[in-house]
Amino acid sequence: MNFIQTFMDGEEGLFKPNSLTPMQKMILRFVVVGLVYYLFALVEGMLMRVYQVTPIAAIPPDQYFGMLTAHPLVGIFGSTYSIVFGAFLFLVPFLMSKPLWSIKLANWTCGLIAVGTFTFWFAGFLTHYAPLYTLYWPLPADFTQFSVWGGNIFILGIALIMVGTVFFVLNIFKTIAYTPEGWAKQDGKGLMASALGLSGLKNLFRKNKKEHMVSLPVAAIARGTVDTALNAGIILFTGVLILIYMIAEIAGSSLKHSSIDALLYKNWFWWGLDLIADGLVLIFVAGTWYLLATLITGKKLFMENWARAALFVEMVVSWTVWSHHLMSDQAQPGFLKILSGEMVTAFELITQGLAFFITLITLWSARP
Amino acid sequence: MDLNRADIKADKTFDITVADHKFILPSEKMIINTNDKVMFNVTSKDLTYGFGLFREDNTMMFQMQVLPGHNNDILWHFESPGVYTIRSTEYSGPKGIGMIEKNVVEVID
Repeated sequence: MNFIQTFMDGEEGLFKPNSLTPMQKMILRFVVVGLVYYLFALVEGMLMRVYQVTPIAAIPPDQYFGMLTAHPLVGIFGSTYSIVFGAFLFLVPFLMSKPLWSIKLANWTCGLIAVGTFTFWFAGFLTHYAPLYTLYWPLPADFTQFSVWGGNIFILGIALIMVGTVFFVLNIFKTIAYTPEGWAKQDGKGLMASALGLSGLKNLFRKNKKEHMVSLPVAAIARGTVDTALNAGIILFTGVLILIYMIAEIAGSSLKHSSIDALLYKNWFWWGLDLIADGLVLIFVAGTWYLLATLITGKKLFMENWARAALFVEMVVSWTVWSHHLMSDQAQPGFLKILSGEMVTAFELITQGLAFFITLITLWSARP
Repeated sequence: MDLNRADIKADKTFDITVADHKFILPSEKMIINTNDKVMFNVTSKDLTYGFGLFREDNTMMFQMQVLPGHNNDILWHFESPGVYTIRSTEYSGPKGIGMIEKNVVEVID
């Protein structure tokens, strides 16, 4: 067999797509999309690194900045979201021993992320739309530097990804709470309350503690998905805002840049983006460590209730840390810089430190 | 000191404007005496920029964001002589890559 045949049909033709279940096909699609965009990010990253040392004649500065803008978005949304969503759309039903609420919706998520990523990447590649992933106002609407049509297509691509993300959020929460057809009625509200940490919080004040209804990894996925949902809302709103300016420009009626307060926008944007960086990433990672530690050792997680509580605290902390991105904004109120930017941010050391400690002690406890 | 800058009287204040990817300085060279507390008050007319002071070895002394529609000021205590370059420390599009004002701040004894 040649390379192409092996690539398409598997080793000795053992890959039989028709024998795969719909769930397996769905997950493989996510993996392939995730890897394809990982390759994009890898190649772009290396090109930019070379450019930093010595400019490449074939890449003019506008192209470089277009690459710089698209690269983190391709990495986060095209690659990481694909791999993580694919994994969790498998893991939640698997750990809860019930079917995924909708494989069709999961496939829509995959398709929207794949198409959306290619859309904004291509718009950036062709038109060099380059306001950077930070999108500091009013740069996304600066049409003296960027093509308004290129910007429109770019933002449309991002919007498609966010719609796919909302579908993922819906699928995860529905899977947790729903009763599959023909099954005995499940306590949907109780399952959600356990997944989100509300019943755990109530347990602090109860004499007779209620058992947790979902496993720790499912709780981690649920809480990270809350941040995923909030972030999708912020980015969708921001995208619509930028689109309004672009459509006005196309219609010949330019809106003044100063209509939007740049500082308020920056606070809004970073609140939203930190839900990825300081929210879902840390929560999903901690949950994955806990799952791996218990799978590897075959033992219960050390300090499991502390781990569960820390996941809830991490979720709440992620809503409060955004000012650490505004520490050199002199117009940002000092109390926000100190409370949000420094003190609560420092608290992440506790929550993540606990995650490290709990995982390592669980692994250590299984030593021969 | 910077958090309490509203309560501290600056020895000198420089008002700088940024517009169309250019720094508009109050003079060709800004001369400061050693141990002066200096207020840099930077205003943007359009985009979000940065304002940073860099030493001759290209290390950064300080920087701040410059947001349109807001006061962007920083109070700095210059403790020793030196010559400094101003650079924009925030991306403002491809047109902003050349925002460097070389050796425009000089601290003398």
